[in-house]
Amino acid sequence: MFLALNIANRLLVKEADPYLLPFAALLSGLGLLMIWRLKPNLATAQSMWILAGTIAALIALVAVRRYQWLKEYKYTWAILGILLLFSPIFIGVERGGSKLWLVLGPFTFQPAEMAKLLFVFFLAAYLEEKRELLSISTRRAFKIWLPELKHLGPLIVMWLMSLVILVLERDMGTSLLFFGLFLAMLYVATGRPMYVTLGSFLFVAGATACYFAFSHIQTRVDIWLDPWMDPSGKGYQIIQSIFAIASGGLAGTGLGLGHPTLIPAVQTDFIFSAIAEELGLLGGTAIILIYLLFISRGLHIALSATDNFGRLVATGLACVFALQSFTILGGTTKLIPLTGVTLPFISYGGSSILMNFILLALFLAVSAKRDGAGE
Amino acid sequence: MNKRIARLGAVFTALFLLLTVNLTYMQFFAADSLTARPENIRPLLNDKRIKRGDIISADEVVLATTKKSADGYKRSYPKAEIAAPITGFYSHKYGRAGLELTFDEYLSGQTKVSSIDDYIKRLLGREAPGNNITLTINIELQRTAMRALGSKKGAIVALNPKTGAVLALASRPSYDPNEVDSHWAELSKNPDGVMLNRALQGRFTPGSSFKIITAAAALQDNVTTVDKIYDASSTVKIYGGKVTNYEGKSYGKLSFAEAFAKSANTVFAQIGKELGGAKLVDMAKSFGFADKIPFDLPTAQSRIPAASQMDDLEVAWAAVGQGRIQATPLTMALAGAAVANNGTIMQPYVVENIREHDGNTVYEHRPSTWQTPMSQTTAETIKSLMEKVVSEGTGKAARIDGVQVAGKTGTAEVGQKKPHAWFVGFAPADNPQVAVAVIIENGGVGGSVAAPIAREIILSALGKQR
Repeated sequence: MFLALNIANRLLVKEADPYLLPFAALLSGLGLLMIWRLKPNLATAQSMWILAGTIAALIALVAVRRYQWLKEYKYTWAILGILLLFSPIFIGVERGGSKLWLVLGPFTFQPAEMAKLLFVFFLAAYLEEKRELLSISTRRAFKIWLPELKHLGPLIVMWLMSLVILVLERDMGTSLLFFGLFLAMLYVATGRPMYVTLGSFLFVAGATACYFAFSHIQTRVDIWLDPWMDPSGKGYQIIQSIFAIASGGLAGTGLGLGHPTLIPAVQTDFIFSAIAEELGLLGGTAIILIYLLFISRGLHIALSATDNFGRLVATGLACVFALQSFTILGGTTKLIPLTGVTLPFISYGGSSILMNFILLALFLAVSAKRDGAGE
Repeated sequence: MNKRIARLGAVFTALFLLLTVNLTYMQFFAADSLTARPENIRPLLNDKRIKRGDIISADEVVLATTKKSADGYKRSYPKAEIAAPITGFYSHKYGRAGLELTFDEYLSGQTKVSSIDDYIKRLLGREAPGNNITLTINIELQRTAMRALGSKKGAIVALNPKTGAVLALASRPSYDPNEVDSHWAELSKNPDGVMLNRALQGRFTPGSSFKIITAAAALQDNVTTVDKIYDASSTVKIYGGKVTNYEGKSYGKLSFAEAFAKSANTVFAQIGKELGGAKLVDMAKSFGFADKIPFDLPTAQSRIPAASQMDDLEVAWAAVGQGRIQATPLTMALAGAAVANNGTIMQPYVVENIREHDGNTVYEHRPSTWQTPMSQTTAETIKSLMEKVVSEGTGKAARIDGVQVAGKTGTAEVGQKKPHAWFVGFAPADNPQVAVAVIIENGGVGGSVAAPIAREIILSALGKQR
């Protein structure tokens, strides 16, 4: 099926980036292997999702071959994104303490995954249009340049939105991801570090307030600081993850010879711990580097894009991908507090797989345009 | 805009490199300490997956094996408390002891990945079962030794003086390694120390059995000869103190040989004084008092104070084997073996060879010399003295018709309690096959308590019926 996608890729978008598709194939293949080893009864479903993902990528490739049309509908994307993002609050089901799922017949669906892409479209289009305005119209106050108050609007809106996700959906990962995405794109588009500073300050302030106001966030951070205080209760998952990683050592225990199934949710959020246990430091580092390469290819596409919209779309997509993989890789290795997001391409989960394949298709579409832009 | 995208890339690169650094720390530097945490059940799960190798006696009796149960592999000890001083125990909960501890890596077959080939094997899930260990222990002799001790507290070491091969290693009270998981609390807190291997780790005042070492020092240094006559009255005064014979006996005039046979303390006190602390301590050290004896099982170090730490009175008492001297039964068995083997102590060992499950030999013991505390001439002289102990002295209870037994008794006084009963010897004197040390804790007089047990062991070792 990757071959089919590759042929389609060659035909539809000539001159597309040649590295991304093999990376995606490698990662999703490894993911399938790990899921087969961890939860064999989920492996068939995952392979169906990967198949569906490649088809979705194909459709996306056809649809967004000339991706510029996306920017015409930027407010549609924004509204659709917000609807998707907040729908679980009203009609969703709660799982594992977070309210992120929608039930559609036999499928459950995480709308936030799709919302991530829609927001990239919106932000890219919005910032492309307003970036001059946002970067020039500043006024001096307290000897530093501040943007005009009305232009701070989007920043405040995004900030509030992140907080709403954090509070109402109890989803720290997604909240962080959206805000981080917004700040990174804002910075790239306007070149004002002020936004980043201000935004980071806002986020830290909001997060700190939430830490004191909401017990579940407090618990998360406390577990991160000292998981050993409750090793069989709240700290159980992260401690099992740490043990799994530690027992991997340099070369790993070998596939099927570790005990990764001791970790709750190992097939989704904690799949990297299983990889680190069974394939060791060598395998784990290889995976981390493949993610980094994927991101650098994404940014490379952004650099080579001939129009600003394409440039911003690629940057945004790279940000989504980077932030998401860093959040979960850092979370499972106790580098940062744990937030439950999936590891792109590897983790079990339909919405995640679909979203990442569409992301791949978008990268390919943007990369293909670099030569034809002058026409 | 491109510059800023590149900057963003640099930030992501830094973040991901941080991930690899952290991963390296966790999997390489902190891995062992994390794995050792008590909350971690992975080592236990791994253990249950492994089919540990067997421990087999020299006469091919299985002493420890692994059986498959619903819950994974479980260790089983068919000879229970008879072989416990050697096998030790292996528990998923409480760790391991004895050979199960010292040869853990061989028994489990879990050596660290050392080659690409190992790694490939491991990836393919082809993990071989553990290695089988064959011992020098003769299970018949071991059973005889454990039965001879019976309900008494004590220890017996029997070994081949020519090779260092340990034939029996008995320690009472003992325990059943099969019951470690179910009876841990009572076993580990037992006031008599059932899990202490007295033969290797028990330290006892050697009493007169130490006179073998004093004699070696004196003869080697020409301080005395076999025929030299000493005053052996009941008490000898040394610098304001005194050394007395056991139960205050007076022997009149005795030659050195007679004094050895009758174990006259007053004669040895004079010899000790003449010899001096330094030479006595040096000789004890070359008999193995300087370090822990290197062995296949954990040993304790026998002790003697430094010469500078002893006044003349203490040196005189040390020559008699009393005072701050403490010896393990293994040390004393090796002292007997040194005399039997022309003054040379062979490196003691209990593991003869280690084979992989398919029969491939991975380890084979080669006898080697450990210490040479005395010359062959001195050893010959002491051998004749020790023969006399059994034929006409304090060790008559060890006499065997048709076999010349050589030995030395010891009755080590330990304050208010009954003395420790010792016998150190070997047989046959002209071609020694077995050297033995017997100690019964607070058992009484060596000649009447320990010597008969030594006789039983020697009989069994030489393959004779009682």
